[in-house]
Amino acid sequence: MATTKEKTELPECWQALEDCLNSGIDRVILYGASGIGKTYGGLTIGDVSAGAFRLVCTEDMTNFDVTGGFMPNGKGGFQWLDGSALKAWKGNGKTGGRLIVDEVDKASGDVFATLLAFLDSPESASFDHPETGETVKPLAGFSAVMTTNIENMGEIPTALADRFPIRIRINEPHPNALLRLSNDLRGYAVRMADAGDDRISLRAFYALDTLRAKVGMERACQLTFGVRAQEVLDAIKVDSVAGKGR
Amino acid sequence: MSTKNKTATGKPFGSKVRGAGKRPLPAMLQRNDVSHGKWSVEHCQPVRGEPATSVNERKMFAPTNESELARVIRAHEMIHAKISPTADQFEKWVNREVASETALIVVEELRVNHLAQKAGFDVKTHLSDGSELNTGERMAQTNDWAGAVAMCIGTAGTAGHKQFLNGIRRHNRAWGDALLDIGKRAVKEIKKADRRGYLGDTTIPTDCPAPYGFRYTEQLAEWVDRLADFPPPPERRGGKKGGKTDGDGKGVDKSHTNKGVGDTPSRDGERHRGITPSESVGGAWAELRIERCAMPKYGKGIMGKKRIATNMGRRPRRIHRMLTDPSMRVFDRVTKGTGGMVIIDASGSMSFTTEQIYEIITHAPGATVAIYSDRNRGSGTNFWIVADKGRMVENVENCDYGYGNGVDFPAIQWGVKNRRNPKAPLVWVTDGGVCGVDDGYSDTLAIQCLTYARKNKYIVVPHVEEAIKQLKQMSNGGTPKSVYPIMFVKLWKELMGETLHGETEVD
Repeated sequence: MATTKEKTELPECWQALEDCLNSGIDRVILYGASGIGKTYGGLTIGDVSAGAFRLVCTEDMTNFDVTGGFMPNGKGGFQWLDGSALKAWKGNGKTGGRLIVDEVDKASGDVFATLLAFLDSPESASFDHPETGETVKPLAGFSAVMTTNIENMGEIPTALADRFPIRIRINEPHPNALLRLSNDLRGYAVRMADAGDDRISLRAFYALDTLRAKVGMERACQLTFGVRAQEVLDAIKVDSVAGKGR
Repeated sequence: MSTKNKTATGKPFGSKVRGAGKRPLPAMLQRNDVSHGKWSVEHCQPVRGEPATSVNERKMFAPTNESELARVIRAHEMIHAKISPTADQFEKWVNREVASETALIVVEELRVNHLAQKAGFDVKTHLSDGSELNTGERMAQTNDWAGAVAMCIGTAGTAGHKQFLNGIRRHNRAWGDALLDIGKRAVKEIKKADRRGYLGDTTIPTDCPAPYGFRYTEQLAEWVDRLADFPPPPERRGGKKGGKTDGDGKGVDKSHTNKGVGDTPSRDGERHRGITPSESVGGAWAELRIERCAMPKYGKGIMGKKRIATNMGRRPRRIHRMLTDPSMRVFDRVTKGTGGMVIIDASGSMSFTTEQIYEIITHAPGATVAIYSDRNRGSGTNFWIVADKGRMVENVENCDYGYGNGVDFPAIQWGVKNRRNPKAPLVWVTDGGVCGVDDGYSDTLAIQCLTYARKNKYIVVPHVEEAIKQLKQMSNGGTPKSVYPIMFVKLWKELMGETLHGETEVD
């Protein structure tokens, strides 16, 4: 498995994300196949010195995860705990942080409405703190990255789409994520990450890479890909027939 | 129908479910000339003609059954997806006119099958759908030699090849032996090409269309075209058409004759062995950039013939003139015309002086005369029309000739396309040292020119004296003959195994 740090050129989609976030764009939607590194990109790319706060949406989640809420403090009383969105607004106290909202399309109606309020423009966005009574506003530098597996951006609700003018389709794994993989498997991981029905996730290739060192390629393929093992092995064989220039 | 044949669903045939079973993964394959992406893979039957791959559309039809035949077909289609040109690229290869489309297709099958075997898929044992025997029989029965050569190349190195040859032998043993030899040589040649290490290369070359590895397909396809064009080996006298054959289709005739054993190889049957592939691959012609020079001088036409109407003769060929022509010129008279075409290679190797070129022009009055030479700059004129329709230039000093060739094939092609009538004589003055855009001599390009010139009855002459001699002969009503330059003679001997005679004759 590759461990050395290698300098790699960024694929177009990741370069676009870097350009946007480094240019001061503070609302971006990343969409594309799962397991490709969208969340990783949101958590690490651009200025995240004030902290990056992740929110994973599900149908059953409540506003507690977004805004925060009162929790027992172990002394017979209750104490307010900030949710991810509020934490991101506050950042490090001087500048706002980054909010990463995963699977935004799976959020329930009331959570979705709260999220819309939190992701409104800085002039309009505010939250009345139930404990202190103060009106909290996002600090300058607050940014938000949403990720979704929806391929058709037309399916995103209009209110959300209005707040996120930049949408980037991530179709290749991030090069840093590929560095964990042996060199010979990286190309396959890149090509299969966005292969539609035939898609094989990057995590599957991680597993294959780890397994093959111990049990051999054939067995590792069987364990990782099951009934598709033979076809994966055949594709690797075919891919090896190219000439010197490949 | 017995229940034994029924599937689990109780229906006589298995249901054709999209994506069921073993599904190949072309999306995993890397190419340098085409971007990767999603592929659509659909099931088809493992029979000839059904599996297919479109690299452009990223679409594959392959059998998804669990059998060795299905697996090698999947591998075959996967290798197409990996190395074969896209439809656009293939069109560019066809447009080069080095080899025919059919030859390119069958040699591509050979290249793919060779690489499949090399990758570990046993096409030699499993790649046969059982139709090859009948195909062989049909082709031998219908005397389809070109089709048989194509099928022979397409199946070479696979299990279907032997079946195909057996089918051929049942009706024509001479063809069977010739095709066996061709098949063996095709496999040998593709292995030889593979030793260079770029057979499956998909990089984008600068001198010809992508993918790089397809140049080896083109090289062999040009050879296949020559084999297919060559007269088929004559049937052996001792061989009995449709006679009894042994299991291998070797056609052992058990009946007693006094003619002796008839399977002694005749010299005629061996002639195709002399036809060999060229050693050079790739290469390309420059684009033909034409300039029509100012032609202030006039000359009376002497080359070629044309028919004009007359009122005397034996056979009235223009009967409509009875009503339309007051002189009732319903007969034909043949007169000297202005339809000839003289194409002059004016590259540095010809060492022409302006006087020599002008001499050729003056000896071909009335003909269209053009000279060509390319400076390998990618721009600027490389083809000058110096005489046309009875008019000619005063001198050729304004033409920038005397450099490389670059456009030999496009120039002679222009000659054929632009002659005024199909019977007008064509003359090509060349030393045979044809070169592509990179100024390098290439056997492949040279044989392309020579084959084309022979096919279109060009009178090929090597130098100015011979050109003038042949032009004089034409003006005197004689029959000109090609006097091929030594380079062409050597090339023909090397690639066709026979002497190149100046057999071209024109009306």
